[in-house]
Amino acid sequence: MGKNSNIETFTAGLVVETAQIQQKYSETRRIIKVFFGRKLAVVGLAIITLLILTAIFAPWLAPYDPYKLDIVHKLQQPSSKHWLGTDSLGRDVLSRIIYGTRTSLIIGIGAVGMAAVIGESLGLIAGYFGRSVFHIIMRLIDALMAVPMLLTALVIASLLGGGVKNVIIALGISLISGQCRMMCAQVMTIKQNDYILAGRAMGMGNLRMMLFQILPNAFPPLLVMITIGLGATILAEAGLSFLGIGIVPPTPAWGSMVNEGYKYMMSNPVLAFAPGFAIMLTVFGFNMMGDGLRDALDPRLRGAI
Amino acid sequence: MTELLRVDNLKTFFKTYRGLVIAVDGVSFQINEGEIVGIVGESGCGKSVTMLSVMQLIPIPPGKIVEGKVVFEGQNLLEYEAKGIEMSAIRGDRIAMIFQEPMTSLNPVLTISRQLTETLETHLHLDRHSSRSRAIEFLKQVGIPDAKLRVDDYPHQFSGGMRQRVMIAMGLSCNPKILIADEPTTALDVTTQAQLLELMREMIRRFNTSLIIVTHNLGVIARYVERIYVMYAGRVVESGLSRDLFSNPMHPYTIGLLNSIPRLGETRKKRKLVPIAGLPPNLINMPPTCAFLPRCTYRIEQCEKEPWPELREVGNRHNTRCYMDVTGKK
Amino acid sequence: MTNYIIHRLLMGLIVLILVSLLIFSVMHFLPGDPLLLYVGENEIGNLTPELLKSLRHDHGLDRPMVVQYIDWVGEVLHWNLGTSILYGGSVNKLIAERLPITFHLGSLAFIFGSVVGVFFGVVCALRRGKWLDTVFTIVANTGITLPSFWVGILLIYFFSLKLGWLPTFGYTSPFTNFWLSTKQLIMPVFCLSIFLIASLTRQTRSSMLEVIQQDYIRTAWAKGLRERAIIIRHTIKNGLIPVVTTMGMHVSFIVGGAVLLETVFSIPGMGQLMRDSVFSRDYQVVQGGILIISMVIVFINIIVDVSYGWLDPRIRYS
Repeated sequence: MGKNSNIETFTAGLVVETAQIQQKYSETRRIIKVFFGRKLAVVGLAIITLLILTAIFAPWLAPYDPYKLDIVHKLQQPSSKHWLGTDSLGRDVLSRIIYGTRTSLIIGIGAVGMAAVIGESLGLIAGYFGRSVFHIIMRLIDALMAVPMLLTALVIASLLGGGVKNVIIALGISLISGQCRMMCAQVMTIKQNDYILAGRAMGMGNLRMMLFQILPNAFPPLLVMITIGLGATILAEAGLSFLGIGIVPPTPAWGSMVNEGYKYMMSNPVLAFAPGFAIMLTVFGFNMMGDGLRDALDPRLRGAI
Repeated sequence: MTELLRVDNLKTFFKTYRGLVIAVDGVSFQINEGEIVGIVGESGCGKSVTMLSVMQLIPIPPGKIVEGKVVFEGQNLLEYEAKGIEMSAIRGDRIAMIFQEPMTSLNPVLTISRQLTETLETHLHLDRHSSRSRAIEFLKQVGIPDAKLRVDDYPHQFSGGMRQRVMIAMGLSCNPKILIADEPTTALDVTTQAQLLELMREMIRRFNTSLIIVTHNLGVIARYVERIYVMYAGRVVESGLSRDLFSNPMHPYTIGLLNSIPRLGETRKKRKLVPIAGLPPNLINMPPTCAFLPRCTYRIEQCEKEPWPELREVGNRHNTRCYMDVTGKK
Repeated sequence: MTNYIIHRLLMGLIVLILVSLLIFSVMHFLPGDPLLLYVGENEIGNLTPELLKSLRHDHGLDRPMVVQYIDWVGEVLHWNLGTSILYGGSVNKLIAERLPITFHLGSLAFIFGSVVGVFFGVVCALRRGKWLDTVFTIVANTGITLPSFWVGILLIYFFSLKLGWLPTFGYTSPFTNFWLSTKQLIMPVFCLSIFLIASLTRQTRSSMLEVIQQDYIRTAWAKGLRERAIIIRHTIKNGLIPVVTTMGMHVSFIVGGAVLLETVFSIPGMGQLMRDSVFSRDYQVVQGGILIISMVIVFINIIVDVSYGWLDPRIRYS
């Protein structure tokens, strides 16, 4: 009995895994096909790629040093020398926007990454174990959510002090609840599937179940949540720096640029408008990409147009 | 017998990203007053889509009724707009349809009372009070206990079998000429199945309604239907009186279906359960030859060379779509 | 249903207790001297270590954390939220003055945003694929990307500075001067509601589309009901239920947005108070303010949950 049944179990497991892998391979092809079939999603992807490239190649793309002061030429209108004009300290607005891409993306990815790791681990645990574990974690999350996201980030950022690292932590903390909730809901849905039951019948331990069975299946909607979370984070970061908390000048950040430009609206509207437009474009890109991913990964849309 | 409904060469296609699905490929049938007709076939053969096309309930962006006529009381229904008032006036009132899933076919946020009375108000122009009494009356007739109390309950407070009874009540509440039942008992257990079919037969007799039962289970309808149409891959492959079909099936698929019905009281030695080998066909890019060919054990050379034949008569109102003469073969 | 309500109330209470713990911990455990709660930053620098130590003792900062927490909760339950360093007066008074203003702004934005958002969403679902759907969807997709404070600035630029139609900033009570109050609120309310409109349009549209595919809608058609009856009685009612569950989150966003927009439009509400007090490290105000705000949000969430339970008969009668 003993040895044979081990081999049988092992073989059964192998068959299941192979089937899963095969299915995933053709699945990936289909997902890519549907994703690129949606124009907006492709546009989103293009925008994000552009932004990432801008952030990486900022030193080569920006015509001027974003920190360089030039008081003599302050508050200039857009011209051939300065495409978007200069700000109140003579810095080139275009260069500051280009470098601002770095700030936004770093903060965005850092904060969402942190929130995703913490929030989704908590959600995985809560959803998987259920009952009391679920209740405890969910009440804590509810408590976190009782304070609006911006306020949480505001208070934590100011307590920790400014700077990129602290803003990442502050925003990350404020995002945890959203990620956790979504993940928990996903896990609870996945738990109902028969292959989980099968895994348990094969004697799979809890950790293996969570990591190898549930997590890979929760991955698609997770990806969507992270992508859309990036958009929300960038908006939040802009809000924070607009309020003067978080990233402050001279570091180029779009939100604080809008804050500065606010004062000079009558004479130089570009100072306030341009960075806001950059924020909008970035968030738009992430959201469209997230939407496209969601549509492509939704199993119910299989076969339909 | 007067003819109530005649479907002529109906064709319904679906555009999917995998290709064009030809769900119904030239189906013709008719039903007369007071008849009970069965439409039988496996999943995906097009029987449900045919009925939905008759009622013009096909979702139009992916689906399209490309050809054919649905003549009801002298009028071709396909000439009407799918969402127009003429079709709405006919649905529920002249031709009613009930569906397979009692759990999801009723609106969860409306009371049973409301869901019954809205049909009555729309078609029979009854006022609130009379429509409510009529609704209660119908609930009693379909065997819902404490109808007067339960009429104000919500669907989730009923069991599956009870919900299907409610559906039957809804279907018959306006005394339609034809009731189409699409797999009405498939989602229910065997005992409830029997009860429901008996109930339907009784209600049909009482109101002189014609009944079309769509099912994949020949055994279930054996006792109730007078004529049967067997469908496969979007076409009718055999049709006739039910006693002729059961005693003398003239198409390999029908033979296969009959062989795969488990029967009580026969020992293993006498009869083996013989399933039909193979899988249902893919309805995209069908070859011009007979669709049943891959699974047919009676095939002859002609089947592989020629296109799928037309229906030919082999007896009194008994037609088959096969080159072979399978008389007596089992 | 009664069980449901009691359960929700109990949960709300637990959450509130957790919130108070969270706020307290954040204030006392994060970097920074807890003495800052009571004494201004500038003053601390000038004080000798002995004076600092005695001040800490005076304010009970050298006692165990648990005791401090209990004391604080005791104070809160007696409606004493502390004193503001910046403004001098009691925190209660400050909040009592400003909360109604933010409430006014927020509820207008909420009502306006909900009505418009749901309406757009329903229209989009019913006219799926047609140009109206495309237009509204594009508007909605853009709407969720707009930084509200930026839109506020844009609007001020056009409607106040360039065209002179609307006042730039400020707030007047509607009881004092209704007309002025309205004119002042048009832009901030609009900005505050943008995200709500855009988000609700998308959610309602998607929820409605899902309902349209349900079996019971097919049954409704099969019964011969007219299109209008099907839409109103069957589709919308079911479609709105999932949307209601997101209302709690949307209220939270509105409060967050209020912080930004009250700053832009110089409206003396809770949002502006929070921003100013965080900025000037007036931590008693921050503590008290966040506590009150979270209480309001927890309360609203309870109402949302109960409404949802009432709307869905599966919960109401179970």
